[in-house]
Formats: sequence, structure tokens, C-alpha cells
Amino acid sequence: MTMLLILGRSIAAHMRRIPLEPVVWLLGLGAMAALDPSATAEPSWCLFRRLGIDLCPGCGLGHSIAHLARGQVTASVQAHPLGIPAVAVLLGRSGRRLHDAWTRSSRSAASSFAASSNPVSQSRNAHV
Amino acid sequence: MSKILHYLPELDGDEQVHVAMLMKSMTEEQADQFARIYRAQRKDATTVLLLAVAGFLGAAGLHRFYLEEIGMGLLYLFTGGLCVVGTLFDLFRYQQLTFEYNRHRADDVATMVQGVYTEEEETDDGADAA
Repeated sequence: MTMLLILGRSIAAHMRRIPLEPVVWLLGLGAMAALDPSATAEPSWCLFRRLGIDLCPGCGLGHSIAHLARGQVTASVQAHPLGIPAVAVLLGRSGRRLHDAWTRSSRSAASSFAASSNPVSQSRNAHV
Repeated sequence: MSKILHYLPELDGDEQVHVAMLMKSMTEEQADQFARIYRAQRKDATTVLLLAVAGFLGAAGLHRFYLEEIGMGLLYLFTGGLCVVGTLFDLFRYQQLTFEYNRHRADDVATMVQGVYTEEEETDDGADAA
């Protein structure tokens, strides 16, 4: 029982190191890519449409990403012209966030080993 | 901790902890300079929250522009905040979003301030540097 508790805590500690934002974006992109591009969801996922507002600038993004995942570039652009830029921006940002988190955790591990006698050069090195 | 309460008393939460850690190794002069520059560069979490709320009125992604994430800002603006889902997600995470931005700024300013002041001391009268 205590072992389980300790295991759970260490998993939770590791989870906290992983930033939520890239995980959400990547899971979202994965889910969109796994969708069937020819299907129409009823009721629609779109919150605007559910509220009765027909004008939604984001509708078609899901289909666009699903087409793109299958290599159908023309269909992707037709479904939503911003599908390709959206994937690029989200992947880029997720990558940067994960990279930040990775360098940060490796830096905190390194600085706990390093002597604290020269904080200036230490913080300089950390930013290179 | 005393240094941050003296120079930047308005910080709280994660930001306070992170900046306190950066200021620990600074001299009083460096801390003073750091506080001035950082105060001018940091972004306010409440402003991020209000700009994110503006996403429900049609102008999605203003908070991302405010945090200098132009790509994400444009994406939100032209897709209605990814069909409102992105706006909602950011609404709940406005403090973390702001902290991520401020942490980068704080790290940059700390490096700059510590670099500049060490060089000055070295050229002025070498021995006092440490």
C-alpha cells in the first residue's frame, strides 16, 4: 500500500515536469488526424453551432487536419485554408514548450551538482 | 526571500519563487537594477485574463498577441480561438501562460544584469568583483 503511494507520488512529481499545453495540443492534433474526414458529426462539436450561431471561423479545421494526415492537401485546403498553418504553429509551439521544459529540468539537475561559488558564470552557461 | 520582498513586493506564487531564486545570488546593486528592468518587462496576469475573455466577443487570441506569441495569436484570431476550445483552455490557464512569459523575461534580465555589473566591477577595480 505504502509502495503504491510512493510510486503514485513519484509519478505525480514527474507529471508536473511535463507541461500541459503541448500535451493538449498534440493529443488534439492526434485526435483530429484520427477522425474520418468524410464523416459529419451530429450533433456538431462546435460550440458556436450548438449555441445556434452559424458563423464559425474555426469550423472545418478538424476535417482539414484529417485530410492532411492522409496526404490529401487539396481537400485539406478546401475544408479550411488555415489547417496547414494551424498544424505548423501548434507543432512549433509544442516543440518549443517541450524543449524549454527539458532544458529547465536538466539545468536544475546540473545546478544542484555544481558548486554555487560562481553564480554569474553558472547562470550565463545556462542560457547558452 | 527578503530581497524580493524589498525590491519586487508585488510578485506572488510561482513567479515570486522563481524570481527569488534568481535574486539570491545578486548583489544589492544588481537586485535594484534587475527589479527596475524586470518590472518594466513583465506582463500582468489580469490583463491576460481580460484579453482572453475578449475572445468570446469575437476578438480571440488578443492575449496571445499580448504575450508576443504572434503565430498563436493569428491562429486564434482567424479560427475563432480554435472554435472557442482554445480560448476556454487559455482562460483556465491564464496564470501559467503569463508565468511562462515572465519566467523567460526574468531569466534574460538576470543574465544581462549580472553580466553587465560584473564587467563594470572588473574594469573599475577588479578585486571587489566577488
